[in-house]
Amino acid sequence: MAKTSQRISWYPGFREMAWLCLIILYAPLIIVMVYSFNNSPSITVWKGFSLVWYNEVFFGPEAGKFKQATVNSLTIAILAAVTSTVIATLSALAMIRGRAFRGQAVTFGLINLPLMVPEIVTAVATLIFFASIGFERGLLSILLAHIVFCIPFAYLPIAARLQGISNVYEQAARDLYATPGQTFRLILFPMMLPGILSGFLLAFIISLDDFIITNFVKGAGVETLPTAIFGAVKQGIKPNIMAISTLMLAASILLVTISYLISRMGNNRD
Amino acid sequence: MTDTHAIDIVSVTKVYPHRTDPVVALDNISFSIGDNEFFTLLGPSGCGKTTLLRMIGGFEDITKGQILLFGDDISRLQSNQRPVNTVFQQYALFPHLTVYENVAFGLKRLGRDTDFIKTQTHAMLELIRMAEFAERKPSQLSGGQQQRVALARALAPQPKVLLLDEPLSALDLKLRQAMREELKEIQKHTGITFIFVTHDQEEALTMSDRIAVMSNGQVQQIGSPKEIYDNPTNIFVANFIGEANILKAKVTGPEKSPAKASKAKASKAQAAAKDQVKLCVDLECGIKGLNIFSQSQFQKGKQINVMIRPERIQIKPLSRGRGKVNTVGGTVKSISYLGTDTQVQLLLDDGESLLARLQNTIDATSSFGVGNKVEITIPEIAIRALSE
Ligand SMILES: Nc1ncnc2c1ncn2[C@@H]1O[C@H](COP(=O)(O)OP(=O)(O)O)[C@@H](O)[C@H]1O
Ligand SMILES: [Mg+2]
Repeated sequence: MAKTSQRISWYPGFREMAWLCLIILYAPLIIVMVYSFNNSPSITVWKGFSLVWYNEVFFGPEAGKFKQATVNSLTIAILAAVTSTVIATLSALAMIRGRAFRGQAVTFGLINLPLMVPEIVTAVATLIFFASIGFERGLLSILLAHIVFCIPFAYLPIAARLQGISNVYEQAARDLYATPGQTFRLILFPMMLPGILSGFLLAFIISLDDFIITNFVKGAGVETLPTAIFGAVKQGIKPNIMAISTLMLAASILLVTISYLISRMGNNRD
Repeated sequence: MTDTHAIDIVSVTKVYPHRTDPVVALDNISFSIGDNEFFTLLGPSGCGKTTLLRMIGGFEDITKGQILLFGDDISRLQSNQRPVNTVFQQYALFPHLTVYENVAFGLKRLGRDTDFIKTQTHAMLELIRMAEFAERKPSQLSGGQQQRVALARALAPQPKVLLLDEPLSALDLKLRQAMREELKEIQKHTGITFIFVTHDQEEALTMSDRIAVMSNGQVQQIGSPKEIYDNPTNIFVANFIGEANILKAKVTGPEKSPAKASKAKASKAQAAAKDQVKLCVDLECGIKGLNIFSQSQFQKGKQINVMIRPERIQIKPLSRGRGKVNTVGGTVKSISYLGTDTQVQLLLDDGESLLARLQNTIDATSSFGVGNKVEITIPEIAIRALSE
């Protein structure tokens, strides 16, 4: 590996291309992070370091609105992640450990379809669906929509993990007098746990971050953090938005890192 | 429950269903395994050994037939309801549990009391000399250590029968040989019936009380290692266990020349299996009037195959002496030195080839070389008639 990576940097233009990609990807994020500490309402002119915008986020006139949106977002993300992880775990067990059944391939496609469908289509479809059954729009409608589109994201790491566990462990447990329930609880579940945790974290982040679908199915006056930020930006970008964005970014990086560490721990173990 | 077998396989058939070509893995087999036996299922890869073992363990449905454990039909029981434990080929130690927790797993599920679990688990760890590794995780053990933990884990609940699926195949040669001794010791010490699966004939011969030689989903022969080596019933068994020369012969009638009474007595003692008959045959290579052992009767004039082990053949330089019994002429084609033995490839005068193996004793001198004409003696006592 080390050898090839050394070689590839010999190609003319490789270094420049790599830097360009990195800059395009990360420069905006870095600018947002830096200017969230700017001691000025300007988003282009640097006037020195300050935490004034973080103060504004937590104690300013809009603090109440953002706090409510954060609580909504976290509540929905936790509930949606838990529910979709449970559903994804059960589907993975049925798909990978169950007996082969008619339409298994189609089922697999259906589970993962939401990953392929453009989000705006899902958003419109969900909205039409709620409207047609007369479902009142609000936190519950957002939660239901989030559960549905989080399932494939939770499913992928869980299924990948389960696929990597030979069923000989379950046979060994059954051989040693464990009932099917005990076999799952004492052997299969602990072995699947790293996959389940990363599935959960992925679903959590996807839910926390979602804007399009949420924006369609939320009721009037109900906001999640992304929709609240979007609403605020429409009235002009103030650095307090940058502060909120930086906080969200930090939370995401933390979760992704935890998820990565957990899955690596699980892989090292066996 | 007088004199019941540990296991009875009763007309068992296994078909793996498939839309286009279902696989018949076991074809109506029946045999019994005695209590306290070290019983080996031996056969080439794909002959159905694992399938049979998995059916005894309860991991595979039985298509037709029954399996009895000490007289009770266990065919319909789940694997956690069978007092039988398995040492899996891949060990399958639970990676998230310690060595101690792995070994105690079965006892806990059986709901044994805490003190018993503790003493029994420690006893098992002592038995495999792994007591100081109790708190390690399986990933922190070597292959040989994992193998022994898998054995202890399966033995801890004191099963009536222990199933072992090629447990030594992942170990290197030295370790494998040491583990053979250890397994045999443990089997004697615990008195548990072992059913051992292997494709390694040497392993089977050195460890087993009895061996079932399998091929193509059928049992070819069951017997002690000596019976199977000395008296294989057919070409498959003769070739699979050790090396064998298969020669063509013609039956000329029942045993002849009872005059050599003393010799006949000696040969009777040699016959390991009781149900053997003696036939008189002419070998196609030119030796006539041989009295040989056979498991089945053949009609006069029938063409049959006979077997002789390479180490039973004697080779001498061509001489002019008389009274040469059971001897044909031939040429030495090649000589390979194998350490303890020398292997000699011979070409008989009638064009058949023959493999001989001579022990390299202290005074062994090569009295012949490649290309030499030699006299080859095939003692009749070492020849066996094979059934089809
Ligand atoms: N799950 C299965 N599905 C279909 N065929 C199988 C399955 N398991 C084994 N077989 C087939 O059954 C035969 C016997 O296999 P196996 O019992 O594993 O043999 P062995 O252990 O002697 O190598 C082989 O032809 C194998 O391909
Ligand atoms: Mg096998």
